[in-house]
Amino acid sequence: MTMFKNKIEREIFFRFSFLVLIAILCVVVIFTVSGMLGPILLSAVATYLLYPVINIMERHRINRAVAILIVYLILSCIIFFIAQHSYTKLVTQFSTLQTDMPDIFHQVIAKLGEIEARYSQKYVFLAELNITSKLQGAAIGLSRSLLTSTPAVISSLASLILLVPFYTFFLLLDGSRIKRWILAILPNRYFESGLQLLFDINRQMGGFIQARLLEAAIVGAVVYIGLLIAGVKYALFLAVFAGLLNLVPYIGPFIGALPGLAVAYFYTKSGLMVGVVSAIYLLGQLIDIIFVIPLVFSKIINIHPMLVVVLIIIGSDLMGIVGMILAVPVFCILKAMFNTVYTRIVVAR
Amino acid sequence: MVLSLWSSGMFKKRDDECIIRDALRRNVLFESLTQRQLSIVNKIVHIRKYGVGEYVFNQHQPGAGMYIIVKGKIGIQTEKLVIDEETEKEKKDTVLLTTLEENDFFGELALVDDKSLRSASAKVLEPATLIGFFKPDLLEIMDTQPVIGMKIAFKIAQILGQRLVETNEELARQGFVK
Repeated sequence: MTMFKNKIEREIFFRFSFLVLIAILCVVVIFTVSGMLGPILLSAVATYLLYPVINIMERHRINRAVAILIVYLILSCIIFFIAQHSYTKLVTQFSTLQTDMPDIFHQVIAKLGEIEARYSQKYVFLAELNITSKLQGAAIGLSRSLLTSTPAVISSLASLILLVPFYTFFLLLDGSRIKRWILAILPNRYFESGLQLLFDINRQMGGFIQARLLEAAIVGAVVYIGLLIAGVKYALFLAVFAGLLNLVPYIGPFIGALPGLAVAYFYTKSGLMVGVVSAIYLLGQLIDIIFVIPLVFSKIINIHPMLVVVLIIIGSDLMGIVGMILAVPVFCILKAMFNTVYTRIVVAR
Repeated sequence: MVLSLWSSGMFKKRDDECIIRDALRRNVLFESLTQRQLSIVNKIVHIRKYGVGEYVFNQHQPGAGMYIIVKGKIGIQTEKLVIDEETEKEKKDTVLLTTLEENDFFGELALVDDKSLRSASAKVLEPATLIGFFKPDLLEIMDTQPVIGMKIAFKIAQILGQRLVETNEELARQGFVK
């Protein structure tokens, strides 16, 4: 007795096994060969961002490959323009900050030490926590890594600049074909579920990435304008840092604000200035919470805020900062998978 | 295995494209499309092969789209509860509603209904090659090629309207509607 009912079932079984083998091989290669995961993840992000733009151009009867090249050309021009105007400023700000960082941390920690000494007699638990020495250790580590890891960061940035546009080009051009190829290998009984699942994941991820980057850009822009008006040094660098850290949910905005507050205190020694800078970061967060999240984000991911906190804690425990960033999107994928399985297997019964 | 996959048609892209294009050209849903528009649709539909006895979809399952029969025979059937005369207990009985052949299509309601559950099962009676056209494909084509999307959506509306008229006439014939 054969395990297959007919020739087609046997053929599909072999195709599916072939797909599973290739998928396992790809996952193993991506996770074992160093420097592969980052460019692939960034290419996926770039693809989700550019996909709607390419679709709009295709709607106007522009060939897809030509549309991608036009977008690349326009983006190169924008990047070149920004680089010409801001690169020197950003690099100068970064290198000055790199030199000033140990002093800034030293002064901030000394001030914190004074505060701690003043209150630890009154509140005994503060002495037990020993916050200042813990912060000192972290600060030394951070400034040391900022000095030593810069060349490595620059070299990995160079490989990203080469690889990400390359991968993104093919994902934009052949994304639909790759999707159809995967679906073609799925066994008939899982085909409709697979198709619906891919569609749901794509839609959720696309919306999620676009919303998160829009949030980061808005927060970064508000912080930049505010710091510029307040006359804080390194405004551009601090705004880019705040925008990027905003991608880490919940604790990201706080960490993103710390360098700005430290710089404000170091250069002005004024409590008022620290207050103004805090207000600027707070304003960025308020705009995010009041406008961006309700208008954009909540419509895309329907997850309770409590659950988001739990997911971030789990993500941080498993994979650190990367885990915190990936926790919510990975949960969205699992949720879409669960929904598909639930509606197709449980409800259908 | 790779050789077997090759010979089994996994990479025979050109053959599949010709089959799909001919079948699409003959189908009422795509009849208003030009040659260029057909070749665009050709790139987004899915070709599936089924063996005898396999189910294309099952009753009460969420539907994702429609199928066009290129080759083979499909039985559309529903399950209903009947009383077993011997045991006098309720049991499920399968009723064959219709048999569909080459160039027929089925499941088109799922293209427009958001939470539609299949009202019947589609079982393969003779080895079949089907073209699948699904809601995500329709949405994609509406996004990238709105003119084609509009033509297809208009045809779907026409077909569903026609089905409604036919259902009303049938109900009238059976005395449910005056």
